[in-house]
Amino acid sequence: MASWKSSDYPTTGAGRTDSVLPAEVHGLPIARQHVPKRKGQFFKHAYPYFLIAPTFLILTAILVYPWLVSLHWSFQSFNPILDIQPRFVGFRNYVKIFEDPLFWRSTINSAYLIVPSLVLEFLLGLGIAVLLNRRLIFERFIRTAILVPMMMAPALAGLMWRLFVHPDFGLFNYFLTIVGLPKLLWTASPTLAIPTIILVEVWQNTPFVVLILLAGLQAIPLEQFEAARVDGATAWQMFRYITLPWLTPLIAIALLFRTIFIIRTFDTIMLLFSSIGGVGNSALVFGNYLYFQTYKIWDLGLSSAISYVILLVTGILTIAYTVYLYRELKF
Amino acid sequence: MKRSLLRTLLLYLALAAVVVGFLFPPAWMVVTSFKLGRDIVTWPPTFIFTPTLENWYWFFFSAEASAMAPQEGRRILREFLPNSLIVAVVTTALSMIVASLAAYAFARFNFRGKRPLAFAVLGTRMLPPIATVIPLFIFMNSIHLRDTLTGLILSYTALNLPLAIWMLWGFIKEVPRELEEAGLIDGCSRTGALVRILFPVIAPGLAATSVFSFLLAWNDFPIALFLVAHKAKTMPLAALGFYAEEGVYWGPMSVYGILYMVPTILFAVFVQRHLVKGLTLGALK
Repeated sequence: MASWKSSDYPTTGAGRTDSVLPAEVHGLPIARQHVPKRKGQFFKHAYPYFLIAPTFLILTAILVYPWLVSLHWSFQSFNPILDIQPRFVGFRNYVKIFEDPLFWRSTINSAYLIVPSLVLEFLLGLGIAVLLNRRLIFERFIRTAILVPMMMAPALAGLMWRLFVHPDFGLFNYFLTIVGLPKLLWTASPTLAIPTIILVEVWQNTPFVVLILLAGLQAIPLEQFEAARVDGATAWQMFRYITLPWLTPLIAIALLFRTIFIIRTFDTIMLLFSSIGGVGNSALVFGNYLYFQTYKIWDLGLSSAISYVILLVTGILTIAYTVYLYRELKF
Repeated sequence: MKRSLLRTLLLYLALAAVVVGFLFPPAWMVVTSFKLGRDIVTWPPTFIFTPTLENWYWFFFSAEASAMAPQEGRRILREFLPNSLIVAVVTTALSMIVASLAAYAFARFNFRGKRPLAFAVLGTRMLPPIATVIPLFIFMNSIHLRDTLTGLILSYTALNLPLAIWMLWGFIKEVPRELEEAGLIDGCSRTGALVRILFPVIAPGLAATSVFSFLLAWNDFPIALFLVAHKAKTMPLAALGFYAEEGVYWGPMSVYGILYMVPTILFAVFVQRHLVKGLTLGALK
């Protein structure tokens, strides 16, 4: 303990940058440096916590705390607007949801929406990313064009697609008739309601997958391909054994975010259809179910319970990615 | 040689299909905004028509609700649009200040609990946004911020922070630590080094992250729909006004859609160079 090498300094916290300053401490009696050093160290250790404090304050106050309060309310029946006093109902809200055929309808619809959308977004996203991964003329224009749907408000996407796939005068139907297909009813048909939403979702969100995978493709060390080529690997083998493994964490990130955000699909549907759930509730997914029940019954206890059910579903659907990424991401 | 030419041709054909596919719906909306009502609802859809500025005129000059649409175009411009701009700009400023501090801490320091704390931040991003509207509604109602711009700004800021922190973290990590250390030796305070040395270097990253913060607030529909009654209406809520019993007012709606889309397009052009890295959450070394 007698010698004060720079390696004796804490390697955690702000101490890391202090390796440039140890001369100031050198040679001073230990007793004298004790007091100021401790005080300084407290601030050094605390400094990063000060920096993240505002973030945690906001996240706790505006997201975590309201969610916890909602958990409490999900066992009550109440309405703050109409001043209906809270009444404890135990698990009755949850029972009500699970006994509600509309809830199961929305679950089936959601699954029908989520699975094909994610598969299509992934396949198209990977394909387009591979196409874009080279020097191109009009490169900036193409990339900008791809960003437009992704950055657009989902509500706006719903609005413009409603015009685009209108059964009577939509351009999409016109294209179909040009290639000899019949006009389709799209949003006006119960069987095509979900496929229409899938179409809009894929249109709007494939670009997100493209961007993330493209970033991955552009970062692959080229030596790996050269080595494989020397060994006589085919293009497919290189893709399968170099590109895909390299992309795996990025695919996980892209699909994780897409899963979280496709469960929220709501705005698109609100504006794509005239009613909350489309013809005969054929387009009712989780988000619309929440909205529908909230505005029909105005029991925020029940609505809180629905929120928690949606949270639970999201958790189940994303747990695998999350565990994988927690292991994979180093920092 | 011939084969590679064919391949290039096919590549560009495929890319053209992609670009056309992505751009056609918004482009068709632009075309529709210059059509009269009767030209919009014809079959087959007309590509050759007499362009009219009637929809645009209604939006900027009509003083009251008319046969064109049940709501007032000028009300959207005077009320919804400014509200949306205020909310989005303040949200962006607030989230950038708070997020850059946290991102700096995560990128530059090793402290106890860093990993779980970082994942806690990301974890809040996993709360499904549509389900978050109910907790937010109850909370904002209890602190009397329901139906206020402040309530919206606070909600969006909280929802923004995780992505903003993760993006900025990635951008800061790419800057060598020595740069700030040099500043510290020259007598900068730590915060001084952050503001005067690090921020200018990562300016493109700050800009790209700001764009995303802005768009989250600008684009949000569900939270506004639940939190807003009539005082703090934002742009996306105006969309519902074009849907009436007798049908949809397509012409004025298209103009509205274009006005709503303008920042999106400007930002897409601007951000396309800097965007990619920040979205990968550091999975790229």
